[in-house]
Amino acid sequence: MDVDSLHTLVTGAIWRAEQLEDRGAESAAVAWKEVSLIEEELANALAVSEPEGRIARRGAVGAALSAGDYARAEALVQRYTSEEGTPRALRSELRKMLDEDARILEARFRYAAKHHRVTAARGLARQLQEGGAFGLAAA
Amino acid sequence: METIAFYSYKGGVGRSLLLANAARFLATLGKGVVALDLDLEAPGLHYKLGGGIAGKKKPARRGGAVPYLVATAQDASSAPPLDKHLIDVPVPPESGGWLRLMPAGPAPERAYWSALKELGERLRLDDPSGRGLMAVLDLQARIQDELKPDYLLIDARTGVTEIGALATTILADAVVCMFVANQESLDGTVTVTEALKTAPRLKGQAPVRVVPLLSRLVEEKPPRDERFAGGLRRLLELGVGKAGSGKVERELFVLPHDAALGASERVVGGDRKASAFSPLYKAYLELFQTLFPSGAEEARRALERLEAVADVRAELTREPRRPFGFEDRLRPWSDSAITEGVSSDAAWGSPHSRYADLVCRNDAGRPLMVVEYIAEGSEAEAVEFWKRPSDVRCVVLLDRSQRGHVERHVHARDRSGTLRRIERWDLPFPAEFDLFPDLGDRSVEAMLDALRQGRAEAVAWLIDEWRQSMGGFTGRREPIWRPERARRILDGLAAMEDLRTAEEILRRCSANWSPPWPPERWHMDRMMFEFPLEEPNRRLEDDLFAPLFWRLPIEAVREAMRPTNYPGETLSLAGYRLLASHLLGLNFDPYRTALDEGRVLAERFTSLARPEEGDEWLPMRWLGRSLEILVEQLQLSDELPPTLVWEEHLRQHPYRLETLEQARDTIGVKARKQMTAPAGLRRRLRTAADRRELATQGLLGEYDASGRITLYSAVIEATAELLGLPPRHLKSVAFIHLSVRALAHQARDLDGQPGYGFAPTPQTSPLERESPVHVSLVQAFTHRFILRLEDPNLLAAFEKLTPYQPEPYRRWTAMQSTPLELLRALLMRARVSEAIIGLPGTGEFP
Repeated sequence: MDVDSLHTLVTGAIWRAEQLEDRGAESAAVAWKEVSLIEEELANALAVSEPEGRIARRGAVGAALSAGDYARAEALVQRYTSEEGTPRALRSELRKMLDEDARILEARFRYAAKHHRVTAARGLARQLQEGGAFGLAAA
Repeated sequence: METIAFYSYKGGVGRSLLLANAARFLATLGKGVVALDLDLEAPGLHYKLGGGIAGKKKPARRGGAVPYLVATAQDASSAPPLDKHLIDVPVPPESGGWLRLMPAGPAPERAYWSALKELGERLRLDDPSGRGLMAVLDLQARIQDELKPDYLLIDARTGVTEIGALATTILADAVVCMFVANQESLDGTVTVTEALKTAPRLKGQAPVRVVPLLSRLVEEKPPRDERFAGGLRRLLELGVGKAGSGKVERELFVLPHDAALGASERVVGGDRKASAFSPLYKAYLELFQTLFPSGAEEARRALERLEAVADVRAELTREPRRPFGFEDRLRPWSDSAITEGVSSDAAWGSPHSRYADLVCRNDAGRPLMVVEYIAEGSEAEAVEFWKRPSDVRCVVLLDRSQRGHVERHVHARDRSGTLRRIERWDLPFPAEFDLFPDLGDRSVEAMLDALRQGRAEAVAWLIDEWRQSMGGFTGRREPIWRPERARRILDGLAAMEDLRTAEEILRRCSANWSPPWPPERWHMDRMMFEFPLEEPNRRLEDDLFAPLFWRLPIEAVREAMRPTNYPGETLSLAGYRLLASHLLGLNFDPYRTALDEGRVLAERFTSLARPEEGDEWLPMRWLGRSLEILVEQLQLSDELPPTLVWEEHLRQHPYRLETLEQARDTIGVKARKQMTAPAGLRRRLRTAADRRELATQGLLGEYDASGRITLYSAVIEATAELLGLPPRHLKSVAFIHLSVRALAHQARDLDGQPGYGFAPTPQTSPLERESPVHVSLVQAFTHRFILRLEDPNLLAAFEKLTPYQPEPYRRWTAMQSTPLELLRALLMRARVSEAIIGLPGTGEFP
C-alpha cells in the first residue's frame, strides 16, 4: 500500500477514533489501536529524516497510548529512539510522551502517587506479567 | 498504618475467622482498623464480621472492593466515594477504637459476579502501564490517607493468584501464612513463603515479615514424620515463630482445632467475657502478641485476665472433686446464676457504674458476689467502690502478683455491713450466703451455731477443721497443732441434739463412710480392698468418731450404724474398739472373729464340694452370717423390760415357772400396755427408785444371750423424768454400761478367747440374778470410761442414777482410786469364771 493510501486511511481512522472517544464508546481503544498500526506502517514507509516520517512515529506512539496499550507504546519508543539518524528532539519528544502518560496515571491515582512512583509500579507489573504470581513462573 | 495480609495456600484453614478476630481485638484496644476482603473469588469476611452488621448475614449495602475498583476503571476523572464501599462494624464504645469493613462486594448476589467479570475485563494487574497495580495501590493509599487507621488487615486470595500475590508481596508489611497439618498444604506454603521472601518490593518498603501459622491442629503436636518436620523447620527459618518450650528455642505458632469456637465461627476477639476463653482464643492472643507489637502488652494482659476469670468461673461451677469434704455438701453456682461482663448500676443500690467480670446471683436474681480482675495497684479503688451499701456481700478481686501468679483478695461484709478483707482463699458457695451472716467468720463457734440451726453442711467443715487442728492435712491449708480447738469442736459436735445432724456427724467422721453403692457392686469388693485404713483416718476414727459414738444421742448412733449395703455392715467399730482396747485391755474385732467362723464353715463345706485349690473367697462368703449378729448389736425397744415382766408375772401367777418369753406372753398384751403407759410406768419406777432397784441390766436395758443390747426407751425416758435428767444422757449411760458388759463377754484376750464367764444369764427364772462382782466391775469400768470421755453431762447422769441402783451398782464409788490395771486383772479372772472373793475398796478384797 502506498503512502497516499495510508495517509487517507489514517485520516479516516483518526476521525473515527476521536468521534468514538468523544462519545465515550468503549471501542475507541480499538480505533486508536488501528490508528497506531497505520501510523506504524507510515513510519516504516517514511524515513526519520523526513518531517512526515517523524510525524508518523509520534502518531504511532501517541495512538498506542490513547489505546491504553502501554506495552506497544513503550516498544515503539524503544524502536524509534534506537533508529539511526533519529534527531535528538524526536527522541526526547517520544520519551516525554511516555512520561506524560505516567503523569496522567499519577493524576488519576493521586493517593497512590503520593507514596509510590508509577515507574516502579510499571516495573512490578512487568515482572508480574513475565514471572506470574509470586514470580513462580519466572524462568 | 501497618498492613497485614492473611494468606493460605489452601482454603478452609480459618483465615477469615482469624482476621475477623484480629480486627475486633485491635478495635477493642482502641485502634482504628480497616478490614479489606480481597478474596474476590470466594469472599466471606462480611459473614464473619456480619454479627456486628445489624445481625444480617450479608452486607447491608452494595459496595465493596470490586465495585470500587470497577468504578475507578470506569471513570478516570474522579475517584469514587470511599464511604459508600465501607461498613461500620460496632465495637464497644468505651474502647475508643473503630472497625470498618470493606467487603469484596455483595456476594453471593448475581450483581457481585457481574461486577467481578467487568473488573477482570477492565483492570489487569499485570498491565505493564501499571494502571491495574496503581488502582489497587491507590485504594490502599486512600484508606491510609483518608481513614487513617492503625491497621489495614487484608484477607488475601487463596492459592497462587495475581491478586493474592499483590496483597502479600506489595501491599502487606507482614503476612500470616496459614496451613493445615498435611503435606500438600505444607509444601505449597513453603513454596509461596520462599517466593515471598525474594519477591521484589516497591521503593521504601521494608522486607515483608512472614508469620507461618499451623491451623486447625487436632492433635497436641504436629505430625513427626521427617518430610513434614523438614517443611516446618524451613518455614521457621523463613518466618517468625514464638519462643519455644523446653529445649526448643523457637517453634511455630499453632491454632488448635476448637469444635465449639471454630465450628460456630464466633468472633470473640477483644471479648472480655470468660466464656469466650478457649484454647483457640488463647492461641489467637499468643499470636497477636507477636503480630501486633504495639498491642502485645494489651494482648498479654487480655490473656491473663481471661485465663484468671475463666479459671474462677470454672471453679465456681465445678462439681467438687473431693467426695467427703465440706464443699461436697454445698452445691456449686449454676451457670445461670452467673452473669459475665456486667456493669453495676443504680439497681444494685449504687449510683455509680463499674465493670465486674462475674456477678453471682441468688435465685431471686439479687447479686451476692462479684468477681473483678483489677489492674495492678487498684485494689483500694475497687474496695472503695464496692464498700458502698448494696446487696453484694462478697467481692473477689483478682490481680497479677509480681511473681506472675494470680492472687485473690476476698472481701466480705461483716454483721454490721462493713466490707472488710477476710482470710480465705477459696470462693464462697451459694449456700454459705444463707449459712453465715458473715462470710469472713468461719470460726468454730460460727460453724457450731450454723449446725445448731440445722445447717448440716457445716459438719464436714468442722471435721476438716478438727483434722487440721490435730495436725492432719485436709488439702486446704498447712496443718496447725491446736488441740484445744479440736476439743472445742469435739464437745460442740457431741452436744448436738438434732438426730439427723448427729447421724450426719457420725457418718462424716467415719473413714469407712461412702454413699450407698450401686447395686451391681458386690460387697466383697469393699471388704477386700477398702478395709485397710490409712493412719490419718484411723486417727479420725479413734479420736473423733469413737468419743462421739458414745456421746451423741443413741437414736442417731443406731441410725448411723444401720447397714446400708449388706448384712453386718457397719459404719465403724471405732467406738467399741475404744472401749475394748483402751479401757478393758481387750481386742474387739468381729470381722476377724466372723472370718474365723467363716473359715471353719467353709472347710466343712469344701470337704463336700471339692473346691478348686486356692479358692480364698469361700470363707468370705460365709462371713455375713456371723457379722450380722456381732455388729448389729444395738436395739431400741418399747417393750416391757424383763424386770417388769417378771414382776407382773409373779403378781399374776406366783407359782408358775416359765421362761421370760413365756412370761411375756402369759401376762398378756393388755397388761403390758397398762404397764408401759406413762402413769403406770412412772409409779412403778418411783417404787423401784425408792427401793434402790433401778438396775441398768434388766430394767433400763438388757444385754441378752443372743449377744444384742436392747435399750428400753420408754423406761429410760420415764426414769430420766423421775430423776430430772435429759433422757439422751441416761440412754447413753445405760448404753455404755451394757456395752462394757457385752464387750467383757465378746471381746478377745491376747489368747483370742472370749469372756465366757461374762455370758449373759439365761432368763429362765425371776430368781436368776446377775453376779454382783460382774456388776461392780462393769460399773467401775463404766465410770472410768465416762471420765475418759470427759462429758460432764454423762458423768452427771451416771452419778445421779447410782444412788437409786442396787448395791453392786454403787460399789464403783469405793473403787475410784483402784488402778486400772488391777481392774483389768480382775476382769480377766471374772472372764474365765474364776471366783473373786471381795472387791477392792470394799474392805473385802484379800
